[in-house]
Amino acid sequence: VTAPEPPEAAGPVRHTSPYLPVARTVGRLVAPVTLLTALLLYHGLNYSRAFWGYLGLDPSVLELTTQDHLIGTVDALFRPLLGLAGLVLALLAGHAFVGRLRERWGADRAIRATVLVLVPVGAELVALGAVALVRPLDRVLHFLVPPTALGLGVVLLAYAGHLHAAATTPARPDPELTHILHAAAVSGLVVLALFWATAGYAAAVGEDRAETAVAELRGGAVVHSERRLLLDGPGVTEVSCTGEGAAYPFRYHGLRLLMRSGSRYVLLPVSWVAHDGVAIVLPVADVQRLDLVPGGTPLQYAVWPC
Amino acid sequence: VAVLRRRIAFAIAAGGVLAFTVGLVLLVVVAGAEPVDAGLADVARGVIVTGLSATVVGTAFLAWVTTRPG
Repeated sequence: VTAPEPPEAAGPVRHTSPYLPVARTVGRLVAPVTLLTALLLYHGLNYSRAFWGYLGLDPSVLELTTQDHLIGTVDALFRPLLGLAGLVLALLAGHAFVGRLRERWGADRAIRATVLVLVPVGAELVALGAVALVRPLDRVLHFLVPPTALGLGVVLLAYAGHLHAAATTPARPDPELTHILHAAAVSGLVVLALFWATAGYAAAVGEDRAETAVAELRGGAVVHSERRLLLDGPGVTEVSCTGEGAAYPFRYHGLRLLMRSGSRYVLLPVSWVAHDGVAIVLPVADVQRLDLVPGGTPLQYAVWPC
Repeated sequence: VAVLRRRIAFAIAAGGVLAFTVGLVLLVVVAGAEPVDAGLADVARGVIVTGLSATVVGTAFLAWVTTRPG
């Protein structure tokens, strides 16, 4: 009779991150490409609304395509993504610093000290973001501060909680349901904070680009039409040459072409001012001839006689 | 000396939290006012940043003092 073999010594039980089941579930429910496209389109719409809103226009009148919106998204998301990458690197450096502290001070002391710092700082940041949610502070704070504070505060608090739990609770191969729910709530808050920050940034970039586009307009545009268009605005002059043989009897000076969008021209009067000026959206079919005059020439402001 | 250190650290950290709270309340008041008082908004922002910094420094000092062996 041989004695039964002793069971193989099991290795140390390791914590399984509760964030993994959350990520798996989200990945199953939402197709990543669909979600990404929807997000890009949403930010592009924010950008377009702000861009055209600066000119007093609603983008829906301009026949903008999905591609037009997505092109704006690149501009709107480039810097936030760079900032996010930098923030993640900084947080990873902080995590490495805690690791070195554990080696130097011992795990218990390092974790207690880290938690003692992270909890009040994280709570303050979350408080700032939460107050800004209830009472918009964008009139007195930079628009990126509240969402960044909320997201960063949640991350710091969650990290402190993770360190504390890892030090005080025995390791389990499978995370408990409460841990998964906690991870889902933390992930949701961070994603919403990112969404809030990028949406605000897209709108700010849109307005900034519109301001730049108007400031860089140099040339003039002269619209010729068979019919009287009654275009009006500061600096806009109508010249009517209704003599026999005139192909385009009505002419409008003092305009600038901002853009052609679909079957519409967007024109601004030469003396257009932000928040008070009128932008002109003119169907291409109403313009029989469009003369574009280079900037910096006397012709730009000249009114040609009949 | 250890007790004194602990008290100083606690005072800095608690002062930071208090300053942050006061700054936040001030910011909410300023943001709701019409028109916004730019000078007061600057003060509120300064108090918030100072409070947050004092919290970081104070709690780090407190953590070092209170977790020291012995």
